[in-house]
Amino acid sequence: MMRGASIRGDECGAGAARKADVCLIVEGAYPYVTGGVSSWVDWLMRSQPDLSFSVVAISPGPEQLRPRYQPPPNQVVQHDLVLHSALSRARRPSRPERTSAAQRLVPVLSRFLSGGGSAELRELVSVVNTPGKEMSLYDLLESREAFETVRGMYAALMPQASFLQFYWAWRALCGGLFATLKLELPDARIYHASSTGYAGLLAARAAIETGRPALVTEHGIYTNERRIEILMADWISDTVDKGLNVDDPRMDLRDLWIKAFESYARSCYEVCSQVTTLYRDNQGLQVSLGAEPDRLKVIANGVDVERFAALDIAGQDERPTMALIGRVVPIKDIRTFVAAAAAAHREVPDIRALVIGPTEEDPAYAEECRRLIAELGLEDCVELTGPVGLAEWLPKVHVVVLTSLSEAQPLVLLEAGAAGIPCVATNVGACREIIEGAGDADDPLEHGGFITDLVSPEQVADRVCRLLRSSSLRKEMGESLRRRVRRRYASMTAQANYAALYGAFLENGTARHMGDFS
Amino acid sequence: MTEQSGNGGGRCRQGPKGIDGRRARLVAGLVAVDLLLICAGAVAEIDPLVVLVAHAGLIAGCAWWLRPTRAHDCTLWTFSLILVLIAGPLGGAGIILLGLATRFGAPERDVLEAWYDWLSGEERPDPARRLYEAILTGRELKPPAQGPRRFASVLEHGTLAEKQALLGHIGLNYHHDYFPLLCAALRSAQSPVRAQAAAVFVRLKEQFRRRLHDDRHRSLEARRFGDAPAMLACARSMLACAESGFLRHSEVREALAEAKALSLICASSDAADAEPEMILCRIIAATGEDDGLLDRLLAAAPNAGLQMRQLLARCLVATGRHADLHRLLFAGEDHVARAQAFPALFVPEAAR
Repeated sequence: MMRGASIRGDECGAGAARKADVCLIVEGAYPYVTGGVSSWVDWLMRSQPDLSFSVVAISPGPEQLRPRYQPPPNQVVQHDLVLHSALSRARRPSRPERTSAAQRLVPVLSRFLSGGGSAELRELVSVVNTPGKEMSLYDLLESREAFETVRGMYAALMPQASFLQFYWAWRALCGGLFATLKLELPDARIYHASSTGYAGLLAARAAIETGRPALVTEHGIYTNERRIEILMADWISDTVDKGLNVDDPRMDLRDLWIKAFESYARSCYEVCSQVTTLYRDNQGLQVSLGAEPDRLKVIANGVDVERFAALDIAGQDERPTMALIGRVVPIKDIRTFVAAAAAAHREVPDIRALVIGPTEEDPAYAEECRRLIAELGLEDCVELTGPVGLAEWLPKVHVVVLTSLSEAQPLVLLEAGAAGIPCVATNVGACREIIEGAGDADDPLEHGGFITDLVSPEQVADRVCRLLRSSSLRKEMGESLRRRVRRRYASMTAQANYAALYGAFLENGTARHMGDFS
Repeated sequence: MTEQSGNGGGRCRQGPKGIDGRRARLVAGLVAVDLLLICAGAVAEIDPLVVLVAHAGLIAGCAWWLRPTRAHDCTLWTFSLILVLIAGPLGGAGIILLGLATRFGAPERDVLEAWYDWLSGEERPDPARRLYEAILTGRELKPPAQGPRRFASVLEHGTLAEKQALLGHIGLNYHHDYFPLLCAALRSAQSPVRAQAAAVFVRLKEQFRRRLHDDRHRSLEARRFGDAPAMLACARSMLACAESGFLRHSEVREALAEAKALSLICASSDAADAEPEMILCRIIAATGEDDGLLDRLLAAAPNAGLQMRQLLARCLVATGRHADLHRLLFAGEDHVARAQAFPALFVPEAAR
């Protein structure tokens, strides 16, 4: 793969230049990585068969990746954007116009990366992509003038830090930024990013350059996820000794990285005509990062309600069963589930605890969980089923449990809810909104189970036991959850919402704020 | 060849740059004589062995004469010697060129002098001026009127960015005193704080589990080879794992038992090092269990330092031996000084 863009039109049976109705921009997901966002992209294209789609797949490096999804018939073309690649060995002489552009770049880029927004992005785009005076990736990253840009930014942003560390951080950061700014834009009527970050940056750039509408739909809040990652990263050197002082205002490399991603998000939010997310709790963070409240919209993912509604509910005579549906990986905190099963086992001796999901993704962790089960003497109580048909097992389950440390909008809660099974889940992502309701006129508080603290096996066990002991409570909460899922989380509802969203902007065709498209 | 001067502190300073004229002439003479010697050997049918010995003697004599006298840097001299030995006259000619290039291509002496002086710290200003300059360049920060804020207060009243920065710090520089803070962050009302606390929690949990696993292997190796420093390092690390708050009770018990066994071996092998006893004290303080070991440690208390006495006091609190605690704190003539350490002993670490 080349740095910048490469087009995979061959796989889609369509030409590279073909205009699509919607250009979906996806980072680190579809079609190369399976997961929630990838499934959503696949579902979205298939759910809108009357629209044509192109996909920009953003990946960090030039490794050849194997697509995990078969493109739907309405995906006309796929472009690959590679963010980072090795330095080229070519050396080219200086050019006066390059020197002048590099001089203009220093203040603009410094402002943009240290807390800028769409205004700075516009300036940056005009410096980098002025028709007839475009700067190449070589000019921006590898020329003598690029080195002068680094020196200028070092002096402007963090002269107190190590230049060597700054240089490599700059290269990594601006490598991705410039690759995004230099991609040849696919022709489309709407640009739709699946997150902020580089995907959102490209959508913002597309809106700025073409004047067409850009949208962003966030599952988790990308900027927050990156911030967490950056704050804990040991590959970023701390070049300023801040000791224990969290108020130290000096900018270090971590701050530079965080501010850069915040700038990308701010640009995206400011430029996008509509900012959607899967659940309401995300909107606070979106606003704090610069999104205007009247451009925000929640479009929840949905499930096939009728399929799960047809399933039987576990009866009173069945062995009391709690189940965690998910992969056996640390982020699901299966160990807390096992510990909760041990605590519940003391209260309800014949309880059965199922972990329904694949164990091969992290074999060491799965083995650790098995050891814990053996150590706690729960071999007769806890069972790791491996991957099984959900429809076959749900009718045996009285309570669905989710002990995850991080989630966006977990579909297992919706599937359990559609089947009328009450849930006990940790307070992550959209769990509270799904189980208790948003608490407004559209979605009044009505408990479909319980929310617990993270890493709190005793609380989980207590709530599970309450549900197992009372069939009436179980039924009441199960029905409540079923009603909410049917009302708010049906797949058809999500499909109609996206159709309305696209319809409104395709009809209008210009980048502007559309308050209420439905 | 170069003339070097040193200051005895490991710093090398180049005196006259590269090769001076007198030495250049000398090397040129060496090249000419060597060339003549080889030519004579070829023409006059002199025994090759004689030519070789004469060649080697000529080089050795010159190398001795041109040796660097006071220098620590022998690079050019060594390089010259090797070149001449390998390539004979050609090597000599090469070294003349190299020396001349060094002489005319090196930085100015005063520039180097200033740089060497700065590097060595010889010419540095007094600490106050250095601090002032560091503050001006931003490498040091003018200390705020108050010290760093208490972490618990940041977590309760700070901005989201401050809370996340704090959790990042906890993730990268964990201490077991931070465990209650991390647990509080897991229950925070703000979802980004909960999410980050969960990420930190999982990461640290895995780190400590892996570390304990590695320690077990290392302790087996250390025991097999009777390597006391390695055993002590394992004991220290296992104790840190046990105190981390991330391990199961059974793992904690196992880690403490192994750390105790290793510390006992180390204590018997090196009576001068107090660290094994300190580790043993921390183990007793953590478990509240004593199998007679505490009496042995208390016997050495009169000669122990403040830190050891504090640890012993903790052990006595943990095991409920209040009379012994009173004796430890108030016996002897310096009981006032000892008692002054008292408040620090029983304040929970997380609250300090």
